[in-house]
Amino acid sequence: MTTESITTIKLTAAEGMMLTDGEHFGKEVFLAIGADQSAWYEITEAEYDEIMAKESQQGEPESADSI
Amino acid sequence: MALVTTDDKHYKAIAEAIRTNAETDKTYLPEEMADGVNEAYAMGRRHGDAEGYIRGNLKGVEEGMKAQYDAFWDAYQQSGKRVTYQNAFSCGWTQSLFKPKYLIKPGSGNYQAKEMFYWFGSLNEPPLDWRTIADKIDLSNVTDATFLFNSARINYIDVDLSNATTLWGCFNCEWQITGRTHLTLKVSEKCKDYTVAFNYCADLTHLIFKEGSKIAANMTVSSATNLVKDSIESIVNALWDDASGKTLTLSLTAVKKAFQTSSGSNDGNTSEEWLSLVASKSNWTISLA
Repeated sequence: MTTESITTIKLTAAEGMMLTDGEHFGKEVFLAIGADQSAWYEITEAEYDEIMAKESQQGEPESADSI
Repeated sequence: MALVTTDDKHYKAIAEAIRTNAETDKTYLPEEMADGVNEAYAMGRRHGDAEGYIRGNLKGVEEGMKAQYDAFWDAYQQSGKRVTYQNAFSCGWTQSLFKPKYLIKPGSGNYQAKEMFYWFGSLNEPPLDWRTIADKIDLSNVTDATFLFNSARINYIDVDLSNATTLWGCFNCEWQITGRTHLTLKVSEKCKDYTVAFNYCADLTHLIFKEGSKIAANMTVSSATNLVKDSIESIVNALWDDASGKTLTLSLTAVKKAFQTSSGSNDGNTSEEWLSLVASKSNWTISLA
């Protein structure tokens, strides 16, 4: 049996900001072991709201034609 | 004519019987009583005819409605053989119309269940309680669950989607108030796409993943700001241990409340319980938005 301590890296966005890796968003991010911390950066909450508004207009995925 | 001796109480009894059954208050001389009997009989006929008509009419209506129901659902469900249910109960279908005769069991493939309940229901009716029709639907063969319950006014959904490879927009509530508070699912590692699956789910308080579920792809449930503790635990516990490079996004508001250390402290995101839960899935990035 082996025992090891695992350290979870937590990123926290500054006031008025949001963290993103370009695809996911969060005020707080608990990184997976081995995840690239540098992939995450801050954007303003206004920018985040704008992105969310655009995403809500996203249509259906490309797929075979509906019958 | 023969004269007889009799007790006039008998004539009184006969007259009373005639009045009761003929529904009249006339008085009768003995020589009028035969006509009175005929009047009573005629009244009985009228009642019998009326009652017979009503019963016959009702039975006829019932049988007619049953015949119409059978004709429609036999055609719509191909006498139980239908497996292609894409959009089958979308836009315009309401709870009062939804009375399937046969088991609804979509097959696998692109057209089988996509958008099946897209925008089902009406604001003039309460949400359909899935539990009342659960024995009529089997989604276990579904592979494409794209928009399957999108904006559907259906609550207490409890389904096995373990063969689904995509749940794109499946439970999205963007375009209608769905009243959906409870959702129970079984999923597997086959599903590679939860894009917008849980968007606009602000009413959702309970999202439970059944025993054996494996969440293997990025998932965002951050719109569910009222998610309760056991639901958050259920989601995290269902994260697949063999996944790599995946992210789960939850609501910061929900976690703060669900795991708060004392009533009203709203500090759940820093609680030991929450941090332990996160640590239990160290192969996952967990984001609180």
